[in-house]
Amino acid sequence: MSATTERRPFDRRSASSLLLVALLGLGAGATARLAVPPPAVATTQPHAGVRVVSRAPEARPVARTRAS
Amino acid sequence: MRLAALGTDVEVRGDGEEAAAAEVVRLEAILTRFAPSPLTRLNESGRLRDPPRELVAAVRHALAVARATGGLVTPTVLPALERAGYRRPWPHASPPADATPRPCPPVDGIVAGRETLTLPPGVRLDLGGTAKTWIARRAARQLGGDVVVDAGGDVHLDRGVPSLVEVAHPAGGEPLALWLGPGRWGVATSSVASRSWPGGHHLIDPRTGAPAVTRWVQVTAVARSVTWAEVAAKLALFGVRPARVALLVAFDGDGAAWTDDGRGWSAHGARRDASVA
Repeated sequence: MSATTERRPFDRRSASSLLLVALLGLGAGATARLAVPPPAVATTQPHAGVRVVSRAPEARPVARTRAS
Repeated sequence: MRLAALGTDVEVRGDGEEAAAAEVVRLEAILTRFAPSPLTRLNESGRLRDPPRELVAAVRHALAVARATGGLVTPTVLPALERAGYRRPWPHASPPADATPRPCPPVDGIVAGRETLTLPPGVRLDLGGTAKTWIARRAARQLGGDVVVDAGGDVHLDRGVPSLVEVAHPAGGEPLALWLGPGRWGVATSSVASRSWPGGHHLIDPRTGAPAVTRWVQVTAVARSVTWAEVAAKLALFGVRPARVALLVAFDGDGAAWTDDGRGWSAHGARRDASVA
């Protein structure tokens, strides 16, 4: 695996993040909410039981989601 | 067990895989638009008497999705898909012959009765993604034990143990990995980069009838059902925040991934160690 570069988590206080929000708001207002989630309104608790994880090389995924 | 079906690769895993695979094949034969089927007969004539109950159920499901999404995910997309160039089984799409898109008609007027299916004039149906995930759930009913049904990347899980699911990178970069707790989950991915051809792709925006122009290249949704996850991924691509999702992962044009709580990963992988709980 190549060396990786970490992208900073989204931070509304940063200028770049504000720019992103502005761009998202202009282009697709709802997608801006991808970056700034609204209060939980879902019947499924947001993120409950789901984690984005680092995968150990030996760990075998049960499936691979992709567009097909 | 793996099989080629639904225009893609399907994998069923659990107790009773042969029955589940047979169910996939059986239902595809009823719902496909690419081979003579009850659906193609309905589209040709606008009316089908004594329809297979599975076609009625799949159409009703598609209508319910259309109403729940304000028409953003609609089975009336077929004429627009064809105008965009997707007339034959993938990968035989071609540049559009008719460059004038028209918005997709509403589902009002479609009658999905047990005895007769009726379409308004000019309306033809493509059950597309809703049928793929609907079939996946039907196939899962044939399975016991730790169940996995992967319909071309739309994944139904019902397992007693946690599951690791990879999210393919749209440009071949490092996949993300999702760790899902035990229980039933649906994970689905929609992209404007797949099934694309010069001048078009398969994801039609019903509001315009043209291939969607999106902020994101690819969105993956995690929900408690794969049918909703597939719909939610499309909604997010269309710029609409879907309800009832556990997680969204969106890839931008630079190949960076963003979760809906704002965490990011570069196209080269980067951090994948953060909890989003």
